[in-house]
Amino acid sequence: MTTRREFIGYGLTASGSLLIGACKTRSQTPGSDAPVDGLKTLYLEVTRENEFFLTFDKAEMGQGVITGQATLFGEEADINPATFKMVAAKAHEAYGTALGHMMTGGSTSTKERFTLMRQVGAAYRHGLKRAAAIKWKVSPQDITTDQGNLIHARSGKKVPYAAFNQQLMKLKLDDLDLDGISLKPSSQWKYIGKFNQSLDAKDKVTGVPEFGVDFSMNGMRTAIVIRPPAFGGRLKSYDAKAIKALGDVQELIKISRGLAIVCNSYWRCLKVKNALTNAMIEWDLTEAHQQNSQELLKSYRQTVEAPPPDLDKDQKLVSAQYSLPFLNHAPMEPQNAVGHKQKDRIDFWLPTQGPTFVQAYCEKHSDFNLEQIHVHNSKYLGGGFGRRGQMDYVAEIVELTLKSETPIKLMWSREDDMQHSPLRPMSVHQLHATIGSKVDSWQHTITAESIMRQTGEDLFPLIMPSWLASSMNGLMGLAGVSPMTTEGAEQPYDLPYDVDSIDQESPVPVTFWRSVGNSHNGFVVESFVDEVAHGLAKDPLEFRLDLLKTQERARKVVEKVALMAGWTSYESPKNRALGLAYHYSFNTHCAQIADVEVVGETIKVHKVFAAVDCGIVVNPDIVVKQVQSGIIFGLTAALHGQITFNQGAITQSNFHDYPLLKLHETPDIDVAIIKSNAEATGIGEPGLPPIAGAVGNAIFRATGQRCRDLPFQVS
Amino acid sequence: MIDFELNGQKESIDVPGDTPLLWALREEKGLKGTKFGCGKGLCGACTMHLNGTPTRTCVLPIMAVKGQKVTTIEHHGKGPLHPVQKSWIKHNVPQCGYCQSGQVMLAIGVLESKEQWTEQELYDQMTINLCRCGTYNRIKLAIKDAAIEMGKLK
Repeated sequence: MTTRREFIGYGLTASGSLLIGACKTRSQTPGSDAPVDGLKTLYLEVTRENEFFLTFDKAEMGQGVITGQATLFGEEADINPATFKMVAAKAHEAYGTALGHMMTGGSTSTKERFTLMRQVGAAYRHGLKRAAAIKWKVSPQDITTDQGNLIHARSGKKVPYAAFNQQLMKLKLDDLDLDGISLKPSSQWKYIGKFNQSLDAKDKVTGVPEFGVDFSMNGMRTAIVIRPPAFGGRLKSYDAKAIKALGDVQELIKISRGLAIVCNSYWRCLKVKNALTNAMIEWDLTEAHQQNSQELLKSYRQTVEAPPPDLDKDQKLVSAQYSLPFLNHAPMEPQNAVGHKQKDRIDFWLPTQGPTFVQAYCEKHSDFNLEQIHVHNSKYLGGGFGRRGQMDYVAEIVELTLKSETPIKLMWSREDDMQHSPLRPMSVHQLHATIGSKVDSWQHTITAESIMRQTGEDLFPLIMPSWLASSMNGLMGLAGVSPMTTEGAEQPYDLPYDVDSIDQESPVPVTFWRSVGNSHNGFVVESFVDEVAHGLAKDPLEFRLDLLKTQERARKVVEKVALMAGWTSYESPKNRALGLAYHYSFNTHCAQIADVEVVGETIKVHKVFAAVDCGIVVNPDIVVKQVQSGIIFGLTAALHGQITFNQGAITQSNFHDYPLLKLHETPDIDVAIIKSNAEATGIGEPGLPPIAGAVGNAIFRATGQRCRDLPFQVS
Repeated sequence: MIDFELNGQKESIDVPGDTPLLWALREEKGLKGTKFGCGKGLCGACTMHLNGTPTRTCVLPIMAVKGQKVTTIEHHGKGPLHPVQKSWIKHNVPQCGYCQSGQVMLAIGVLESKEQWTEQELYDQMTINLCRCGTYNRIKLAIKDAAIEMGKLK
């Protein structure tokens, strides 16, 4: 579905390339002297050589969005997706989806672009057929297309699309309201659900792609920022002379988040940073985070302690408390950005999930207006996972660019990324269920720092009118809930949910981390469902299927995964068992079974089975890869991941103490996709939430140990 | 001035001898196919070949390569693709792709260092490089296929 009316527009460049975009109003639709500027969004450029440059307005961070968008466009335009050259859209509100902003997140790209991409592709193909019909003096019905060519079979004509670049401009385009364009029925799809390549695979194995970190320009200097040792700290003073004496320092720039060391290369910056001594920079830590993780966990535990409900005589109580730590996103590409200020414009090149957020931030913090602020998203992001929607490194590059007389590149080291990044919040969950013959009550209290409150303070004022920002924040405050904290706590199960959240307030920045609230609630709910099933002496599979009686799509994934794993016939060797979990997130159903062995203190995940229903599938291979990716990301969190604080400072610094899952620990992962004609839904995140629960449930069935704290530890 | 052989050509770079090879090539020579991931030799994103051996160059001072042969991913991007790269494409290994230059260089170096490999031996070699997207299942398929293609799988 498009969320608003769009009209197709055409433009022609000086070199004869046809541009196709969308306009918001009919009056913007260029009919004759097409002003190229009239195209608020650009989707396709067709060169005179019949090359197709397709613009993608979502960030490609490994989730395969460029392949998906090319497949959708190519389906209707009749262009082989593999032949598109993909170009990242420049930031512009006209591409916006979330409150008029460009944002990639929440596993929404395919869902949001499923119709629009096909509509623009179809409009182009319809327009071509009409243009050819006029020129060839034949009926449009007699013209067909084939992979970028127009064909009139009777006369034997076969002409590349580009031959009609000029003619398309002359058409009267009255009927090209995008919503009025008819699209192919799914039975005629050639590429959707069938095209299985990844468009960027070749580039990415030959070292060709340019990531943000690779961008450079003439006269550019490099900066690294020394930040306070704990969140909430501030730069008090520094010994410029002593610091400059440490190496080839060109400039020191004080910014609100710390002190930037500016040199003519990253390595020179890093050498200076490594030589710094405590005496050279003084921090004001009066408002800084002070706590240790142990104390923090203890206080969270006290916060959620709630008396269990009263029991009837035939009821019994199942209670449990779960905890999950803070987590870092750890994308392989550390944060970076380049900025260049000139008299009448300012440019940024950076990898971001929210290009127009960058514009909005710069507009608010400088004298430049939106038209003067040019944000160039990197074609490829070296991982995102929510990290690159954050404003921390954006704030740094904007301030640095405004204060620097030359183009400047901001570089974060891995240590910077590990110790100064916003985190997935820590959470503690108290659950009470009363059970008789069935579950009579289900009480789930969660405490965590609220992502929504922090986002409301930082991002809302940037991306929405102030009246809306304050009323949104006011409403959330009144309701007393933190939507990201409770996200995913209520599942399609027929259970009497009573879910509540209690906010924690500290200087620690928390944020969206792959699957967000589902990343903790998936684990907690699925573990507790097994605990309750155990209390009722029911098989975890049967218990879930009972609770999902009226939920057909959910049932199907659970039944499928049970079949795949041979749940009912599995004979458990000693210390080894299957564990089941199901979770619904981002409109997608996913069930998983983990085959887990516990040897001493080691948890060995031998195999994972997954069944997923994400509606219509655009690229089946990418769906499989995303589910595997989510599972591996989730296994890192389940088995290894934690960020801890020591007197307010993050303890971990790099991959030796924040280990990622390695190849030898990675189970084989079988993924089954349930065939569906339902709307295409998310796939970048839904593979993650079930896995920790599946592993925890397997550990319990293998050993009798119920592990309620992540990362798992067995004894 | 440090002289060495880079991708089959003579090369000289004038940087302090403690500059890591990765940064000398990225920042002085504009050779950016090799990536920076951790700066501590922990993740393998910066893998190049030093005299044919996969080596982590974010912690390798350039003075250590004086007179040696250095090969980067760019060397494998120009001509025909290496069987490892073909196999990586066939199995659609990359996701974000940031670690893949390192993965590919590791795989090429591993496969070319010995005549015969078992599957398990290959996996044991590949486990040293990190991938946050979790492309490991595909890496296993791809390196096994590449080994078969090169006639090196036991």
